[in-house]
Amino acid sequence: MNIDIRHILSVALAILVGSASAFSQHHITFMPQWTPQAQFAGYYVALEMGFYTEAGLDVTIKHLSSNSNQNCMEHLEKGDVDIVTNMLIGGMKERSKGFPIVNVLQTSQNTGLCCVAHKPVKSLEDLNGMKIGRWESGFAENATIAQKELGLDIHWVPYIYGVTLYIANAVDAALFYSYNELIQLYLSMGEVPADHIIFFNEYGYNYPEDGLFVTEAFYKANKDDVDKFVKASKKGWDYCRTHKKEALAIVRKYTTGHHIRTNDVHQEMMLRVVLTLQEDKNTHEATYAPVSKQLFDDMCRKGIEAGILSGKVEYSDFIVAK
Amino acid sequence: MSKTRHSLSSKLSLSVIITSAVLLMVAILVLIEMSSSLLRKAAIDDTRKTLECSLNKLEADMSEVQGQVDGAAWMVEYLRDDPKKVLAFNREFLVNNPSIYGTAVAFEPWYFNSEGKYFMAYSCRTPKGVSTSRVGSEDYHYFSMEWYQLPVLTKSSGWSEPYFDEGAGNDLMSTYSVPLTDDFGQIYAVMTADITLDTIVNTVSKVKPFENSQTFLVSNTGLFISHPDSTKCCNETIFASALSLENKQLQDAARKMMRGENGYANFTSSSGNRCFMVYSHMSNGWGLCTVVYERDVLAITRESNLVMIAILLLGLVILFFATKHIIKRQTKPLTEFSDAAMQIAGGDFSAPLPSQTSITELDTLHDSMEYMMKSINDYIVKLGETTAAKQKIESELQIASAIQLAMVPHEFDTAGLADIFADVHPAKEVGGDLYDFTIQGKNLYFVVGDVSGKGVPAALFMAICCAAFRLVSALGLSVDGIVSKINDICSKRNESNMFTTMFVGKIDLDTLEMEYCNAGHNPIIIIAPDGSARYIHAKANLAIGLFPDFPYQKESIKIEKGSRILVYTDGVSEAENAAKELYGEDRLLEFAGSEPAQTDSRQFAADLLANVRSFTLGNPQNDDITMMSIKL
Repeated sequence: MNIDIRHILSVALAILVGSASAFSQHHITFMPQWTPQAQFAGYYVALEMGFYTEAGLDVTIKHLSSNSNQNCMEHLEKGDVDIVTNMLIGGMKERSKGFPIVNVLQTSQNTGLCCVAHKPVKSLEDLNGMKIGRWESGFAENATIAQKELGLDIHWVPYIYGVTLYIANAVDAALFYSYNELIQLYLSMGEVPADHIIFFNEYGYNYPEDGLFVTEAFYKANKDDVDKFVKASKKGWDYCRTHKKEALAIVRKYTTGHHIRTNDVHQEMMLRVVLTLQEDKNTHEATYAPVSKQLFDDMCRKGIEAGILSGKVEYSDFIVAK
Repeated sequence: MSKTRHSLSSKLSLSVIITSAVLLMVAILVLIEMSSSLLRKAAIDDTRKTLECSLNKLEADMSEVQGQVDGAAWMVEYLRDDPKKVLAFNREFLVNNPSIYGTAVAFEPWYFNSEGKYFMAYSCRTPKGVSTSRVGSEDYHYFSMEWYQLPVLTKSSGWSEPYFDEGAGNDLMSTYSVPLTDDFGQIYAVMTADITLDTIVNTVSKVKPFENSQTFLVSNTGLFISHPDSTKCCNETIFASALSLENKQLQDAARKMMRGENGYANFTSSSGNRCFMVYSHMSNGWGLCTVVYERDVLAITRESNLVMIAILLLGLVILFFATKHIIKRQTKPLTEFSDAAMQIAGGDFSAPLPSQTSITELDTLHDSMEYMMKSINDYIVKLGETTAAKQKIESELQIASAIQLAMVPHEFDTAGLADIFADVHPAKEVGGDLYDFTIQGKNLYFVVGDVSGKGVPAALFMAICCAAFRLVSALGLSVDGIVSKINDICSKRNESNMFTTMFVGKIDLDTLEMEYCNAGHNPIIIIAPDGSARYIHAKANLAIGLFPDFPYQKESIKIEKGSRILVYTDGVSEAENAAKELYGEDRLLEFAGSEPAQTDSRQFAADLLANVRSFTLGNPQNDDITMMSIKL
C-alpha cells in the first residue's frame, strides 16, 4: 500500500485533535444502497484516509443486511441513518411519494444499465416480447421508462441478485449494471458477445445514477456538516481515481468484514467502470455536477408517464447539490 | 602462440567421441520426448478416468437426494388441500431422509386463501431435532429466490448455486428444487431439499491423480465450490482466477469449460511449470477440473533418464579409450615410417622400413618411401658425377681465366711518355673484352675491344684479336690499316660468325695528334685539362670479323696537352642496377668531367669502377667491364 507519509501524519493529527475534542465533532451515519463493494469505494476511502475526520465529522458507515428486504431509503426515513446513496430516479421516486429528501451530491453522470440477451439485439425494440430478469428491489427505472415510452411488451421476472437466471436460460434476457452483473457474467463465462448487449445510455436514457441524499430537515439543520461530508466524499473519490490499488485494498477490508462473496478481480473491474461512469462523456473528467434542469424535467415527465413517480418533483426543491 | 599438438589417436578418438555424443544425445532427447509425450497422453487419460470416477461418485451422492425428492414429490398432490398435511408431510420427509439437511414445500402466491400470499412449509435439522415451521412473508418473499424461480421458469428440476447457510453452521450448501404441477401442467408449488456439500467437497479434495495436482469443482456460473484454497470457494470464478493469474491459456481453457465442453488444455503456470488441465461436467452442469503438473507426470522417468545419461557418458569414456587404443595400434607403422624418414633425412638411405601391413594406405606409403629412397640414391650418384664434372670445368675455366688475363698487359710503364692504365673485369670466369697498347718510337698504339657473346668462345676470339693487334701494330701501319689487317685475320675461318667491336688509336706523343679508327665500338671520351669532357663520335665502321676487306676509315684529332682519353666497353655504360636502369653515357660523361685533372690513370680507373659499382649496388654484373685511361 502506497500511502503518503504526510497524509498519515495529517490523519494522526486529526485523530489526536478529534480525540481531544470528541464532543465537538458532528456525528453522521451514512448508508450505501447495497452491500459493500467498489461501487462505494470513495466513501470507504474518505473514512479510512481520515478525510471525514479532517472535515470535523465523525462518520459511521452502516450497510444493509444481505438477508434484509429493507432498502436504505427506509432506513433514512426511519432516521437510522443521516445520508444515503441512491440512484437519482430512486430519490425522485421517494420525493414524489412525499418523502422530503434532497439530492446533495451527484457522483454518477451516466447510466451503467444494460440488457444482455441470449441472442443479438440491435435496438431496444428488439427486447419486445422477451422475458427479462430485473432486480426485485428496484434499480431498473430507466428500463421501465424506456419500456413505457417505446411501448414494449416485456415480461419482467424479478430476482434478488446474480446472473444465475440468465446463465440457466430461465430468462430471455436480463438487466445488468455494467459495473456489477455484467462483470459477474464475464467472470462466469469468460466471454459475453458484444452484440448481445444493449446499453441504455446509447438510446436516450442516459440518466445519472448514484448520488447522495439526505432528508430536507436534516439538510436544513446540518447544512455545514452535509457540505463537509460532500466535500470529503468527493476527495475520497478523487483519491480512488489516483490510487486504485490502495482504494481496492480498503474496499477489500469492507467486503471481507461483511463476509461478502466476491473477489479482487471483480472489485477491480467494478471500480474501473464506476469511475468511468462518473466522468463527463465529453471531457472524460469527474465533475460531480448536479443533473441539469432540462434532463431532470425530462426524467420527471417520463417517470410520471411510466408510473414510477407519483407526481412532479420540483428541481429547485430537490436538487441542492452544487 | 604455439599450437597445442595432440597425437593422431587422441584427435581421431576425440572426433569419434564428439560425433557419437552428439548423435546419441539427439537420439536420447528424441527418446525422452517421445516417452514424455506418451506419458503425458497416458496421464491425461488417467486423469480423465479419475475425474469420471469422481464424477460418478458425486452424481451418485446427488442422485440419491434427487431420487428421494422426486420419489416423494408426487405425494404433495394428495395433500395440497390442507396446509397442515403439507407441514406434516414436510416434517416426515426430513425425518425419513437423514442425508437431507432441510426441506421445503413452497406454494405459489395465494395458493391457500386461508394462509395469505405466502405459504411455505420448511423443516430443518437443529440441535434439538427436526424443526418444522411455516415461512414466507413480506420480509421473506421466496418467489424471487433462485431456488424457487429456476424450477418455475425452466419447468425442470435442478440444483441451485452453492451458498453458505449461516443457519446450517455456515456450511456450504446447495438446494435441489422440483416444480410440482397439477393435472393441467400448472406449477403450484416447488419442493426442495437442502444438502451440505461437505461430502462432495471432501470427495473432490481427495481427487489427486498426481502428487501436486489440484482438483476444483465449479458451479454453473463458474464459481469455485471446492478449491484447495478455501477462501476462493463461493467467492471467485475459475475465469476470474485465470484473469488474476494473467494466463491467456488458462483463460481459454476456462472459457471452453464454461461453454460446457469436456476435454483438456495445456498451459504454463505463473511459476513457469508446464501443466495440463482436464475438465468434465456433471449432469447438473457443475464442472470438475483437475490441474496436473507435468513434472509430477514425468517424475517417474527422471531417474531412468539419469541412468540412461550416466550409461551414455560411461559408454563414451570407454569408447574414447578403446578407439584411441585401436587407432594407436593400427597406426604404429606410421611411427616407424617417421623414424625411417628421420634416418633418411640424416643420410642413411638404407634405413629399414616397416614391414607390410594389412592397411592399404600404409602399404602405399611403404612403397612410396621405398621408391623415394631409391630415387634419392640414384640422384645423389648422378649429382656426384655432375659435381665432379663441373668442378673439372671450373678448374679449367680458372686456368683459362688466368691465361686470358695474362694476354693483356699489366705493366703500364711508358718511360714517362704518357700516363696509361687499363683494367678488365670479366662477368664470368673468362671474358670477351680486350685491351692492349704499345709504344713504337714516338707513337703510342692502343686498342680496346669487345667480342660478341661471353664465355669461352668470346675468350678464344678475344685471344685471336689480341694476338692480331700485337702483330699488326708492330708493322708501323696507320690505324685504319691495323684495323683492316686485324679484320682480315679474324674474318678468316670465322665459322661461328663471331665479331668484335674495337677502338684502335695511335697518338703521336710529340705532336699529340691522334689517329683513330672505331670499328663499331663505343665513342671515347676526351677530358680537357680544364675538366670539360666530351664524346668523340667516330665514323661508322663495321665491327671486326664480319666482312673481310671492309674499308675501314680512320680519323684524327689534335689532343691538348694535359688531356685524358677514356676508352671503355659497353660493360661500363650499360651496367645495370636492380631496377633495370642503365649507368648510361650521360652519367659516364658527368663522372669523367668531375674527376680532378691531376688524378692519375690508375686512380681514375679505380674511381670509375667504384662509381659504377655504387650505381649497380651489388646487382650481378652481366657484361665484361673494360676501361683504359690515357693521360697525356
